[in-house]
Order: sequence, then structure tokens, then C-alpha cells
Amino acid sequence: MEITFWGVRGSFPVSSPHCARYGGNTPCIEVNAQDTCVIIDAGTGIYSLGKRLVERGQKEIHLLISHTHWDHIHGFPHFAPLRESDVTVHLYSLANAHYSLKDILYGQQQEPFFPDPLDAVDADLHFTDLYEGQLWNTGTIEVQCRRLNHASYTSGFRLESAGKTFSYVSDTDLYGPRLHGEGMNTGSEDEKNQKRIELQKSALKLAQDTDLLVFDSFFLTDEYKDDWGHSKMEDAIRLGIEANARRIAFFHHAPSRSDDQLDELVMHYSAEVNRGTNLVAAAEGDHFVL
Amino acid sequence: MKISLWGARGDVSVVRPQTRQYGVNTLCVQIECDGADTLILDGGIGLHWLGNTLLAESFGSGKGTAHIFFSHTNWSHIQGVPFFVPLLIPGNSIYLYGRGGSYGTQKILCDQMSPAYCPVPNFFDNAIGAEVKVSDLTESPIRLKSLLVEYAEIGQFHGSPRLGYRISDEANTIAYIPAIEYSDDAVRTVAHTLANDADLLIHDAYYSDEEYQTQQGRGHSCPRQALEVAQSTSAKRLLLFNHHPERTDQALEDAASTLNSTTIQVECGRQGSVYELGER
Repeated sequence: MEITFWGVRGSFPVSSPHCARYGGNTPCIEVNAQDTCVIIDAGTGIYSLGKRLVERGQKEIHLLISHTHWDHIHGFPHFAPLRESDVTVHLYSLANAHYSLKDILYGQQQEPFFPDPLDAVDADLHFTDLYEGQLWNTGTIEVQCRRLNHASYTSGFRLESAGKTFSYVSDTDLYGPRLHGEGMNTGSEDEKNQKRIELQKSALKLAQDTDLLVFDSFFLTDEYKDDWGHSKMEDAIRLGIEANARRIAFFHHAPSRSDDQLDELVMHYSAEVNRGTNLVAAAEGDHFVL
Repeated sequence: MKISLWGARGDVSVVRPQTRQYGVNTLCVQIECDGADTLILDGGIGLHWLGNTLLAESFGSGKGTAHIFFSHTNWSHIQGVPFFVPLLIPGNSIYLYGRGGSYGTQKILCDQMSPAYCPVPNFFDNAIGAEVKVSDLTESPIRLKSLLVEYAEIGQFHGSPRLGYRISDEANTIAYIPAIEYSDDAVRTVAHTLANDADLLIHDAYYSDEEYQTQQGRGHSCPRQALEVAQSTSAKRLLLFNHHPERTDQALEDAASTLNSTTIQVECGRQGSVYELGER
């Protein structure tokens, strides 16, 4: 299984020298195993990935959407394979009673926001709801989806192929005091505590013994806000150690986070990971062969 | 009058090494003038970084006033609004103006903030953040202290009205026409009126001259058309604007140098550029 990072920045794309090395495009990761191509999230990184997929003639594309905040979908209208009539794009998201991914993406491309409606694209689009913990086969890659602690309905993914595992756990406030998302912040304190524990167990299931854990590392410890639904860098280390991850990648970098800062943070936190565990900050263009 | 470009890119901010020099923040222009509040044209991603700069001034302590005018409401003109931090600070007054057609500008901006899409607290709610007022423009001109704001509809695209602006103080005038297609003489006449004798004309050049030949009807114009307007209105200086995501730094340099003439100075809008217009 091969992993390529096309966008690593959180919130919105950043066009500035302070992050020229790690990159300013919003989340998009390509995962390939043999002929199977899975993409996670459709931030602005998907623009350049889309051009690459057309060049190489990828006809079947599986696109997993973790959630529908702008930074995870606003590249989608500019995804070049949508303009290819012999391409099929399978889209997946966590099932919920409130928002359908289809409606959200059609909404993004309607007047008065965007000139080209989604129903005019040339590619075939197939939408599939995934359920908590369900295993879904996309050719040579098996996908599992579980809910995270973030606004609306947000999920993380575990991808397995030929004995290798890739885990995507972003966006979430994994160890924070608050519950986020539709229908979460209800019930007694005991019930809420139980939900927090369940969400942490879910993240652990996604990350257990993984070869590469991509984790929401939006905040520094002293920046942390408990009502944003994002984690801190130290949380990436904590989950990575608990889950026995072989490699941990900081991801979803804050717009203001500079290249030099990320270099220093990786140095700093490298002292805290297990021996034999590799810590990196995800950079656009990074390519990992698992 | 001081004009700062915070974003000059159209469509979508695709960050690439080949566009580093001109930047890919979507559209946002700031106009500062003695005796006037902050005036902003369009609210693409550039608006976020402008907002952060404003926080160091009166906006950080909730004493700022800004007027934001939208030319229309496609994403690249409004997507920075949720990330304009002065909107979240009580005490600031932020006035937003546009022409939202049958939708209305308030509904369009609120829809962008729907929880499924956007985690930012809804500052359009009176109880949250700054005092925010959204208006659909009906009567031109508007006087905002030392600035006069004139505007006109420069055609419609897929049913949405698009506005062009002409902003003047006692000494100078800038014209802002970020998205236009010269589909008929009426549109041309309006553009000419807005740009007439302007010190600075900021004009749509989304397509290259060659691309435009095959992209007619898509709502944009090209550098040659921008130059024609600048020349026939005696504008002093032309800034090509709303660059296509594919347009590299090199292509922009080439486009400007091809158009440069003895009568008019032509540049491509570059994120971070500042223009000080002085006495005429």
C-alpha cells in the first residue's frame, strides 16, 4: 500500500512563504494498492491529484470523505476526473440521519455559489453510506470507518491491504473534556463519560498496530481550545503509543504553523515516542510505501 | 488612497511552487483612505489574513468598523468571510454589501455558515461577535465618510447579478471589475463608465487571450479586453486580476509584459502588493 500526501493544512488553504515546504493545500491523501485507488478527503490538494489521475488513466476512484467542513470538500468541484465520461467515482461517508454527502456536494456546486452544477459532470458518481465499524471492500483495499469527536458527523478511517494498515484520525478532539457533533452532547454526565470512552476506543480500533497513523495535530498545548474539536500534538503521541503505531504523522496543521515550527516540534516530540516508532509532520508530496 | 491586494486568484486556492510569487489567495482588496473606515472589496481567502492584520489595530479591541463589498457570491469572492476574525469580536461593526438577486446576500452568506459545512460560530446571530449588517445594494452612490462608492451591475451570470465598483476620494479613483464578460454593448458601456479616467483599474483577466477564444460564454474576460477598456477610458494603470488557478508566475509576467505600452502601465495583481495613489 502506498500513501501520498496532496494536502496537509487545516481550516483553509494557505498561500504564504511560512509554510512553503510543508505545503498549504487542505486535506487530501491518495492511497494505492495495485490498481485500487482510494482518496481520503477533497481539500484543495485534490486539484493536482485529479490532474495526475487523469494523466495515468485511473478509471475507478474511491473517495472517502471524513466530514463535510469546507476544508475537506472545497477542492471537489475542481477534481479533473469529474470531467471524464469513462470514470466512476465512488463516494463514501459515515451514515447519519441529518446530512447526506450527496446533498452537501450538490449544494456546494449550486447557484449562486458555483457556475457548474454537479449533475452536469461527465463521470459516474456513486454514493455509499458507511456504518460504524463496517468493513467495506474497494478492490484490494479494505476500509473501515468510525466516528470521531468533532462537529456534525465526522469519521476516521482504517485502510488495510496485504497485511499493511493505514489509519486516518483527523479531525477530532480525542482526549478533550467536551463532546462534539450532532446528538453527542446529550444525556447524563455518566452517559457523556461513556460516550467519551467509546470515542477513544473507536480511535484506538482505527489505529491499533497501524503502519502509519495520520492524526489531527492542529493545536500546540498552550493554544488548545476545548470547543474547536481538534487535538494537540501530544495527543498524537499518546494515541500512537497506546495503539502501537509504527509511524505517526502530525496532520491538519494550523494555517499559522510555520515550517520551522513543525521541524522543531517533530524534534521535540520524537523524544517521547516509543523506540522504533518514527514521528514525522506530514508534508505535501510525502510518499510512504508500507 | 492606499490599495492592498490580499488575494488575486480566481476559483480555488491551489498552492503550487509555480504560483508562489503571485500567490493563490482568492480575491480580496483593501482600500485605506484618511478620514474613512476600512473598505474591502470581496472576501476570498485573502480576507482572513487582512483580518489578522486588522486585529493589531482597533479591531482587536472591538472598536473597528469595516465595509465589505462583494462583486458577486461565487466561492472565490466569499469563502474567506467565515475566517475573518474581526467578525467574532464584540464591539466591531462590520457592514457587508452585495446584490444577491433572488436569494438575497444575507441568506447566501448565512448558508455558507451552515453547520454541516462550517464550524465557526454564526456571527450573523446578533448575540455572537461583532455587530454585523448585511445589505442588498439598491441605490448608488454610497458616501462613506471621505470615500464615495459607486457601483453598477455588469451583467448576470447563471442568473446571479455581478457588480463592478468605482471608489473615489478627493484625489483618486479606482475601478474594480473582477469578473466580467463583454457579451453585449450594454455591459461594455457600464464597464466604461466605472473605469472612466481611473487612476487604477483592477480588471478580470481570468482567461488568457488564446483561452478566451474557446471559453466564450463562461463569464470571464482576458488581458487584451482589459487593456481595451483601460485604453478607451484613459485609465492610468491596469492591474490584471482574478487569475486562473493554472496561471503560473511566468505566464503572468509574460501576459503583463506583452500588454505593456507607452500609454498605460500594466501589471498582474500580486498577493501582497500595495499601491499608494497620491495627488494627481
